[in-house]
Amino acid sequence: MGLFDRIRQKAPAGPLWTRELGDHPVGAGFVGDGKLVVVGTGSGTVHVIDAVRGEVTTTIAVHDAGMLALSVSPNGALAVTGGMDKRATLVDLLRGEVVHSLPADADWVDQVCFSPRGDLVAFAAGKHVRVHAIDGKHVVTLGPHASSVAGLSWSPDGTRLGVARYGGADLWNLDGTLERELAWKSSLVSLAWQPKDRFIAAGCQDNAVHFWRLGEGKDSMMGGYPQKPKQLAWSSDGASLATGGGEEIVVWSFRGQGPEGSSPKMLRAHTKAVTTIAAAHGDQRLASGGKDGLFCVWRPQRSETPVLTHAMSAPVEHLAFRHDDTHVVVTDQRGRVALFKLP
Amino acid sequence: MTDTKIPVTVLTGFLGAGKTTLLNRILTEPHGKRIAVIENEFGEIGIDQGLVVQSDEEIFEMNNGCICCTVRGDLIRILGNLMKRRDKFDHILVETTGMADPGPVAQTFFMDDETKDQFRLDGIVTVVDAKHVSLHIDESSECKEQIAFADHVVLNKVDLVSEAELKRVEERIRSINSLAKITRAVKCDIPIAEALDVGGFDLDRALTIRPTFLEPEYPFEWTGIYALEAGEVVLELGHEHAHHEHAHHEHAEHAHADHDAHGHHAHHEHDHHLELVFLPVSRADDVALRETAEQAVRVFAEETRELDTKTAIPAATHACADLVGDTTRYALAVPSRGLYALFLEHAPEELGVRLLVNGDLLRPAMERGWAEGHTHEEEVSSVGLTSDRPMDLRKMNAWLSGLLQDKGPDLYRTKGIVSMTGMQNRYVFQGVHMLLDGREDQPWKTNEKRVTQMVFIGKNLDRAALEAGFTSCLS
Repeated sequence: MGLFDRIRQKAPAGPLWTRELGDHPVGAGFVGDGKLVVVGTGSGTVHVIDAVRGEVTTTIAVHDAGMLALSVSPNGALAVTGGMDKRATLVDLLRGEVVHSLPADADWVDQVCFSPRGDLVAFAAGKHVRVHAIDGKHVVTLGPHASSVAGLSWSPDGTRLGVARYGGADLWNLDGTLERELAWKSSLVSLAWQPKDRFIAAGCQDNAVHFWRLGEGKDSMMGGYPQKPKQLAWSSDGASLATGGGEEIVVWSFRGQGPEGSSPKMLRAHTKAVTTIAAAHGDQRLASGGKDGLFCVWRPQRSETPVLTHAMSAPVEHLAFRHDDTHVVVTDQRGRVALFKLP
Repeated sequence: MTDTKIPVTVLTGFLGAGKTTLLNRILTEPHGKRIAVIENEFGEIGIDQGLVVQSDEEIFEMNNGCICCTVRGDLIRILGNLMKRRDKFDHILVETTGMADPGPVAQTFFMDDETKDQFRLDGIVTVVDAKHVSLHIDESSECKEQIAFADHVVLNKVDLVSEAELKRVEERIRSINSLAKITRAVKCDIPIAEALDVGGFDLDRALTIRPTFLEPEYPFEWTGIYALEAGEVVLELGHEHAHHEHAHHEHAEHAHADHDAHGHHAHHEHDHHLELVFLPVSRADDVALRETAEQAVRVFAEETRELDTKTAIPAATHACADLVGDTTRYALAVPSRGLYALFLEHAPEELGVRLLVNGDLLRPAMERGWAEGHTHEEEVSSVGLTSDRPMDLRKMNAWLSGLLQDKGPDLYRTKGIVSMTGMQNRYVFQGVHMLLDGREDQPWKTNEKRVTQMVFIGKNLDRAALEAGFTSCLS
C-alpha cells in the first residue's frame, strides 16, 4: 500500500471527544447501555464519564495505595478493580460506589476479570487467584501456582478458569480441583480461551504464541515474532486469533485444519509495537493501539488497511468496544480518553 | 538524545554484608530522590517507608534453554505495574537475595522489550563484608559472580580489619573485577548519591569514575633492558643465590595467606615454568619501554615455542623455559649489538632468573615490574585489552559474536570503547553474558587519543585467546 492510498483511503475520523485525566489508565469500558464510559487510573480512582459530552460525572476513590487493574462486567453494571492494598473491589458504576471490598493473598492485585455471564469475578495477586460471586461471596481460592499469575481467562461457559504462569497454564474447576495442567517450558505472559471452547492460546516471553487443542490436548507453537506477543484477541466466532508482538498485527485462521502450515494475515499500520488489541463482540472487526500512539480499526476479512486511524497523545493503553460495537473507547498512557464512533 | 528511561540500581551482596543498612539509609535519609524499592522476599524494610514492594525472585528460563536468555519474571511484572504509578518515583532500587546470581536481573534489562523500553539499568552495587569476603570468594561462586558483575563494590565493615588486610581484600576484588569502583565503608556510610547514581552501564561515566578503567594488564610481570653484544647470552634459571632468603620471604607470605584466606590468596606457588620474550628496544627509558611492551604483548599472544636448552632463543619469540633441578641454562641469540628488553612472565626472583656473559652476571640498565595481570589464580577475573590501532567493524563483529556464542555463559560483563576504521565517532559496546549492545557514540574529541579499549570480566578467561582475537580485528 502506497502512502497515497493510505491518505485517500479515509480521512482519519476524529474522536467524538477527548478527556485528559492526567493519570495512567489501568482499565476502561462502557457502563450500562453505553451512555457512560468508565476509566480507572493508577492513583486508585474510578472515573465515570458522560459518553455524549465527555465530561467526568463521578469519581470514586477506590484504592488509596494505587490501582493496577480494572475490568467492566459484561452488562456494564459493575467494575472489578485490583489495588496495591491487598484488595480487590466491586464498584457499582451507576450508583458510583464500592459495593464489596475483597481481601487478596498478596499486596498487589494485578489481574481482574469477570466471567462471561458476569456472575463471578476472578482476581490474582502473586501466586494466588480468588473467585468471588458478584454479591461478594467467596467461591474458591486457587493456588499457590508455580509462579506469580501472569494471565486469567474464563472458559466460554464460565465453569472453568485458566491461569497463565511460568511453565504453563492451569485450568481450574470452580470447586478447586485442577481440571488440567497445560505444561509448556516457557514463561506464559497472557492467556485467551477461544469462544468456541476448542482452543486456548498463550503469549510467551520467548516471542511465540503457544496454543492447545482442548479436545485432543495437542499443542502447537507459532513463532517468528520480534517481541513477546502478549496481546491476544479471538474473533467473536472463534475463527481467528489476532496477535501482537511487534509492529504488525498477525491474524491466524483457526478454521478447518487450524493455523499449522498456514500463513497468517499481516495488518500493517503501526510504526512501533502494538500494545493492545480488542475484538468486536458481534463481527470480525478489530481495534488496535500501539506504542506509536496510533489507534486503528480493522476489517481484516475485507482489507489489510485500517478503516479508521487516529493518533493519540501517547502510547495506547486500552481499547473497548461498546456492547453493540458502534463505539470504541481508547485510553493512552498520559491519561487521555477518547471516544470514537465506528464507520 | 534525552533519556526518559527510569534508572534502576541493583543492590547485591551476601546476607550480613550490610545491604539492609544501605537500603535503610537510602529510604530514610534526605537525598532528593523518590525511590521505589523492590525488595527480596526476605527483606526487612517495612511497607510504610514509601514505595516498597516485596518480591519472590522468579527466575524464568526460556524454552531454548539458553542461560543468557534467563530473566527475572517477577521484575518484569513489577516494573510494568510500577509504570502505572510513574508519578510516584524517579529511581528504582532492586535488592536481590544474598545468594542471587546477578545475571538474570541484568539480562532482564537487555532481553525484555517492555522493560528495555522504559527502564535503564544504571548500575550494580555489591556490598561485601571486609572481614568475610575473602572466605566467601573462596567458598561461593555466587560471591564471585556478585563481585564480577558489580559496577561499584562497597567494602563494608572496614573497621573490623587491618589496613594490610584491607589492601589484600581490595587487590583480590580488583583481580576479579578490574572495572568496579571500590569504596571503603563503615556501616555502609557512603554518600547515597554514589550508591544510586552509578552510571555503570554508561561507558563515559565508567571512565570518569575510574580513569584507569583500562590500565593495560600485561601478560608479563617484569621487564629488564640490557645492553647486549651480538652472539649468545646465557639465561640462567635457578635458586642457587637468592634462594634461601627468598624462600623465607615467600613462606611467610604463604603462612599469612593460609591463615586469612584459606590458602587461595593471590600469593601462590608458581610452577617452575617461565614464559619470556626478548625484543630490541630503542632507548632505556620509560616511553621506549612502553612501546616495546605493546609489541611484546603481541608476541606473548602467539603460540609458545617449547625450547630445549641447546637451542638459543631468537629475539621476538614467545619462548617457554623450565627450571629442572637446581639450575637450568638457556641461551638468547642476540642478532646484533644493542639494547634489548627481556619480558618475563614472573618477577626474576621467583625462579632466580639471571643473564650471564662469560660467567659474569649482567645487570639491567633499567628494570620495571608490571601489575600482575594474569597471575591471580582466581577462577573469575578481568582481561583488559587495548590498542592505538583502529579496528575493523566487520572483523570485530564476527569475532565478538563468535566469542559470545561460545563463551557467553562464562562472560559476566563486557565493555568496550572502540576506535573504528573509517568512523568519525567512537564505537561503544557493553554486554551481559551473551547479550551485547553496541552503537556509535559521540565523536572523538580533537585532542583525544584514539585508543581502543575492551574489558572482559568472566570465568576461566583465556587471556591469550582474547588477545589473539582482539589483535586479529585490528586494521
